[in-house]
Amino acid sequence: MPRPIPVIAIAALAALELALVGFAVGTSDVSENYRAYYIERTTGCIDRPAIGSYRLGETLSLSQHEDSAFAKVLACGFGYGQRGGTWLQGNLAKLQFTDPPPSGPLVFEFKATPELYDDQPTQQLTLLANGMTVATIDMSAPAAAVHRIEIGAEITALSQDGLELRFELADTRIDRTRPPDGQRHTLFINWIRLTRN
Amino acid sequence: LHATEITGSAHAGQRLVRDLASLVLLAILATAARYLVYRLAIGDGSLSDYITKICDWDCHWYRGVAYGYDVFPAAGRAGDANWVFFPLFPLLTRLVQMVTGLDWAHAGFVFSNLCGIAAALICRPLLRSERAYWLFAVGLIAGPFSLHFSLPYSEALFILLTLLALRALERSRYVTAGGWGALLSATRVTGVLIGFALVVQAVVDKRRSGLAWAELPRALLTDRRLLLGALLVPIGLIAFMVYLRFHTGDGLAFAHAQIGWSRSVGNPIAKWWATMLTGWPFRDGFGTQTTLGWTAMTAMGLTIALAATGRWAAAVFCAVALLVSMSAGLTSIIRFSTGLAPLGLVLAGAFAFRGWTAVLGHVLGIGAGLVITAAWLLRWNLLV
Repeated sequence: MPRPIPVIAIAALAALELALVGFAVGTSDVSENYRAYYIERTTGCIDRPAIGSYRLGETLSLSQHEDSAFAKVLACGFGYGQRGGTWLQGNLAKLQFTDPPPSGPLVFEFKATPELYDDQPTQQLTLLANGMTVATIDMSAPAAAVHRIEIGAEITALSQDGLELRFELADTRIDRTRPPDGQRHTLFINWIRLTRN
Repeated sequence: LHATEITGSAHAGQRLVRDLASLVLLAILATAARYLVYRLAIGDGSLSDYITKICDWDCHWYRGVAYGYDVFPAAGRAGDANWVFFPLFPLLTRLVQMVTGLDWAHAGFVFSNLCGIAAALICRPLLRSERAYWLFAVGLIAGPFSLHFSLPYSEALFILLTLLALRALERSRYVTAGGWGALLSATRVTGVLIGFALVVQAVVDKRRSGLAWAELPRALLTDRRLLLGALLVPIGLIAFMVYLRFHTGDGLAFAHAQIGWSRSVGNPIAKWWATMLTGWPFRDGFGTQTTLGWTAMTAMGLTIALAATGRWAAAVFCAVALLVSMSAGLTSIIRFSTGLAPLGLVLAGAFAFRGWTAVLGHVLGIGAGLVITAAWLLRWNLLV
């Protein structure tokens, strides 16, 4: 007959587990950025520093971005690279050109295909550079198109740290080939390029 | 009596050795067949190339975990982080890697195969006939989802630990089952749900011993072996949560990081219904999504069959695990369902009904295994 397990040992284990769960769940210590993206889910864009340097004029394919050229400028809001490009996953995405910080007048070009449906026949994209609106684009043709946006020297001079480009979309569209909790696909982008004007 | 016991023990030992030899041979043949599929589907390449090739999708995430959890999602990625992958499988595979000097894909191949063979070896007491046993064992190693026993994925370890826990429960060894449960809860998020099986098995045991329903609550709460077993189960999960709290600042990072894959928790039935309706009628995504929906229904049907055959503990474990998995969406429901070993047990039992059904089961299972291997190699994302 095995010895009975002491009640005190069971009680101690239960108390220890409760204390550890309480510590792990009840004392979270995360950044505001983390809280907004992961816990409160109030943003689809979690900022991260770019890796590596970007040479003006370089065309970055978004079709593969992990440890690749895309990581040089990606801040947040883009999905995984797929064949030919990638999706913006919410209504906000950011690119950062920080190494080296570009200066003077610039031209930002990108090739994109909008996500259009019969009941959503147009898609509006607002592009901001260092917080200033530089273009509002209405896309109603289902085919991919190249967009060219000029960025004045006064805008690049607004930040010493570099150029931040924000893609803001008026609405979030859901990939209708997936259930409603699937990827929030908003715009498919093939490539991007920043050049001197 | 003593001599009889020695003879019985010797027979059991001989059978174990015979089974082990058969299963190892089966694993070698199954690998050879899958390699042949690789040669047909992909072209030239050595066995080593094949092992490297099948290390795809989440294989890379597990490798990342083996070398350390993210502090913050890396640049160049969406918000997906490797916190969603539980640590036990990658840690043990890393151990195999350190001992053998193999690379990640090959170490995972070896470890998952060992888990598969061990699972097939220890599951005999859970099956009700020799025919059902071999259907299940062959199904694990050469059947539809046998590729999981070659991949550095946590399924093989999860299935082994589930079978060990269920074996312990069949003998009413709650503390032992709780120990296996602790390892399960460190392997996958649904592992902790084996705790439900523990409690249900205790209810079944006490009812069988003649206890009235009214006496059950008191009997359960005063059963120290049951209490200790139940408390052991979440230890793996709690340890991971405490680790994540120190590492990322968020003890629930494994759940919160699901947003990186656009997954959110909701009503599993509503998610299933939405999946069934996606793309209806016959537009983009319809075939894929309804396949996922039908898989969930099949898994639930098998769970009901488990209950109907009196395997209440396993049925409750599968039901809760399926509902929890479905609550985050059905994207990976095929893989999650195949990771639930009791569903395979009931399916093997059904095919063991007659000799010809058993043969049919073997043929269908092995054939499906080869087709699914080809689908995996061609990156059919339904299996991810």
